Amino acid sequence: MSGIIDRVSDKVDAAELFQIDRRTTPISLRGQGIDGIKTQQISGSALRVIRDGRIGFASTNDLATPEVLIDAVCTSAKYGDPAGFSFASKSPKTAAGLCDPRITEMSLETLAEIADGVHEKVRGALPDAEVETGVAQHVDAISIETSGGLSLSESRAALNISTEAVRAQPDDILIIAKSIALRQPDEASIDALIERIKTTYAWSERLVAAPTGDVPVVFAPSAVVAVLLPVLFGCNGRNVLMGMSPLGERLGDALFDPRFGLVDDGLIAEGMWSGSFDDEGSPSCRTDLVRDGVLTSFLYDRRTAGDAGMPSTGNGRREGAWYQSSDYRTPPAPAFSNLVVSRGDQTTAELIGSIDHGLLVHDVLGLGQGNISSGDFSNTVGLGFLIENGEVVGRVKNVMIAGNSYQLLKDRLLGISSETEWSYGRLQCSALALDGVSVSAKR
Amino acid sequence: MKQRLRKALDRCGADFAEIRIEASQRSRVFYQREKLDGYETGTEVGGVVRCLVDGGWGTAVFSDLRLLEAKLDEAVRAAAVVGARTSEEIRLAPTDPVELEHRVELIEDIRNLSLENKREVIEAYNRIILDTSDAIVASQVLYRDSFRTFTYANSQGSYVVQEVPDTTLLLGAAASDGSGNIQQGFEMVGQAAGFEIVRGCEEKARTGAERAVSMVSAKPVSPGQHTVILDPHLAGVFIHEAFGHFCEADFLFKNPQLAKIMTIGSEFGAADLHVFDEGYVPGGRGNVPYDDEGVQRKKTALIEFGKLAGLLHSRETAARMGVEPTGNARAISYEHEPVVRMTNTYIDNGSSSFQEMIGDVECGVYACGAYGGQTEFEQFSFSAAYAYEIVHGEIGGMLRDVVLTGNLFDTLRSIDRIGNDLALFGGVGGCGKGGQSGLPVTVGSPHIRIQNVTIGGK
Repeated sequence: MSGIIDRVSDKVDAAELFQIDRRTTPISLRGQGIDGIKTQQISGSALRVIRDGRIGFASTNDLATPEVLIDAVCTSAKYGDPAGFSFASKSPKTAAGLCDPRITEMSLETLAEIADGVHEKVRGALPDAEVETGVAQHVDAISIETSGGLSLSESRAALNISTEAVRAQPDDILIIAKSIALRQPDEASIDALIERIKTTYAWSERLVAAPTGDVPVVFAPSAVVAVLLPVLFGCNGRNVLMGMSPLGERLGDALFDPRFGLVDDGLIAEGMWSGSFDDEGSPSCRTDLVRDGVLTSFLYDRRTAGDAGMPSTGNGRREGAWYQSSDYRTPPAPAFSNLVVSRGDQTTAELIGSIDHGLLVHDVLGLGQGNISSGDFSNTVGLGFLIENGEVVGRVKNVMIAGNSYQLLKDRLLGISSETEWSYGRLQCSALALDGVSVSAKR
Repeated sequence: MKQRLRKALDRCGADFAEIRIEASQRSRVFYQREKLDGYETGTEVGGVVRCLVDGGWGTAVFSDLRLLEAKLDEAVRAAAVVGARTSEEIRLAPTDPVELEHRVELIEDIRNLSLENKREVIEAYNRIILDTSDAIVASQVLYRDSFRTFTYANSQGSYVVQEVPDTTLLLGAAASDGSGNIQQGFEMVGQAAGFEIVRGCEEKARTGAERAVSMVSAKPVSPGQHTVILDPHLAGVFIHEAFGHFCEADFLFKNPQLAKIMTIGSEFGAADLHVFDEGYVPGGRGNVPYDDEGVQRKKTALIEFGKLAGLLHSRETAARMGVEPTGNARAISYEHEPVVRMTNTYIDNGSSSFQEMIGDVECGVYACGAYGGQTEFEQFSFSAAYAYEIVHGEIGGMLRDVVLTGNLFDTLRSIDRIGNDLALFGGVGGCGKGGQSGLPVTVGSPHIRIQNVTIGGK
């Protein structure tokens, strides 16, 4: 037991201490060499209490004077919201494969070598582009203690590799950006990343006019998030409780095409948001959100679950933005961990091959734009291609896509690819082909 | 503190070294419907050291200040690895060392007001929103403040202590007709100021709620090309997102092809287009009296008479391009090294009245407020909070789902009217770049009219 839980215990009904120690070493390269090396060693603590039935929360990274934190949390609890939940008390099973010593013990020189290898391969493949490459080693040590006697700690390590190639011509700027996050060193994944960049580059050479109107669109795994965001908004237990989700009364309904499935998986080894437990000590779970097209569950943290009269699904996350990992400054709220979209039975090439006149979207801008609470998305296509007679024939520009995710995933699903790809370290997606996506473009 | 920093810098052995220490406190009150979802305070300390050895940067970030000297050594070692492998040696533009303290005085100091006092004010706004109409299904009222003290010292003798307050309030509402059509409306305030800016916002709360209600019956915009008038807020977001980021020299020197496009004197717009980035405007969230390299603020003309007039610089980019630093090296916190960022960025006044602007538009879109925006080089995407159709030169019915896209260069050239009603907006969020998001900035513009803007939709 840490001193803090002991010291606060006699002032409150229950207490929970979350602590994180984060070590990150990013290396960046551009041109012919290393651009910079940075080391980060940051820690922080968040104390949450229930006092006279009310919630209190405060955070600090300065524990030199713990009484400041304790006073702050008691002040917060004085008028805080009533607590309809209790802190975690059961130890979860331990998830494996989260902290590979080959990553945690990787030297600066080895990191620099990996970075240099990726950088040179991309530069070699795209000689007329400016390339920036980043490699970062991450090690998070997270611990959670509660006054109920729970004491958890876990280290999670990852290697992030990202590369961005930019070719700027007076009348056209082409950007190809790809990244991967790995739980263990993995040459094959790095090679696959470089292959994807090469293919994309080859497709990008020729600029063509975009299709417009309601057309079939293949969303590459890296772009599927645009269609998923409204569904994720709808499945968030907090939005359901607040009356913001259009899915509130629809559990058990066949709202999607029977081929569509969506799983929140907090245990999958490759996922960067995996762990034995979530950010409030609940065991991580695998939760079907949509199974065979039927809406089966929402995602809950302990507090929202308590208010909704549901069990926690192990989705209590402390995060500022959805693409950022645990932040001690933010109290837990429901958020997805890693998402897995059900695989289909066609290859991506077959999906493209089945389309006479349509669009292939690799990247979008403006995620979250459009009225996502109603299921809508509306995004600029960052990188997209015209499909003609089943073939990718060239790159399109100044194009917007829009649609309603619920309608498209129910009635307009053309197919799901059998190959999957991770994006943001958090979404394991297949390519999705949807018909009738509204596409507008500059004439 | 001063002695410790000086001593550490003296003994570290780097060609150049700097230390930035931050101490901050913040509070947050968040209502969602009747629920007090967030009610908390936080404190934080931390530091970042950055060193140049043989022309290579090494940086170390730490939250335990006892580690300062050790982290400086670590940064020197990292810099030596970079210096040995780098292809282009980094130099810094010379600046005069400064020694000063910049303290702020707030009308109603956010540090002295209790969390409970703040909550009472926020709760009243939440109540106004919820009571506005039966169609209101949810509210989101988010108040945040922070007060940061930065101490900066470098091996060239600069020592700057600065206080930076930031106070923001979002008044958000969601309304529905019960058929799954949920629409949002919001108003916001944000300034480098105290709690006084949060008081007296009853009318704003009502306006946000009423807008959500009227958005429920708004027509979805028809996708395609439109003549668009942007209100000052959205035009400000546009100039910041789409153009401002292009003027950040760190991004340009990394790409010589891009730097060529951004040659000073290149024509980007009509002769009445003037764009500035200014390090100080009263209450501006982007105010930086001295930037995170200890360089004094400036007013930089980015576009004058339609032509590119200047770029934004750090000491490193200024040295590369042979110009003076502009005081735009900013970091969101001690967790980051400074990069070139905007401060308070705006399109300057033109001569058109709103009536002149709208009068000859037969059919168009009047897009207001900013919901979000993102830019990727020449392509941008941003969404209006709400909009109206323009019919026969007059404002018509309300439109929703207005998301605009385009090519920056085409769009700047397509601005054919610039208003005379410049207004600045602090907003509640902030600017994002290279993993550093939420940097307080101010954007602004008069109304502007743009021809042939692509709007997405179903």
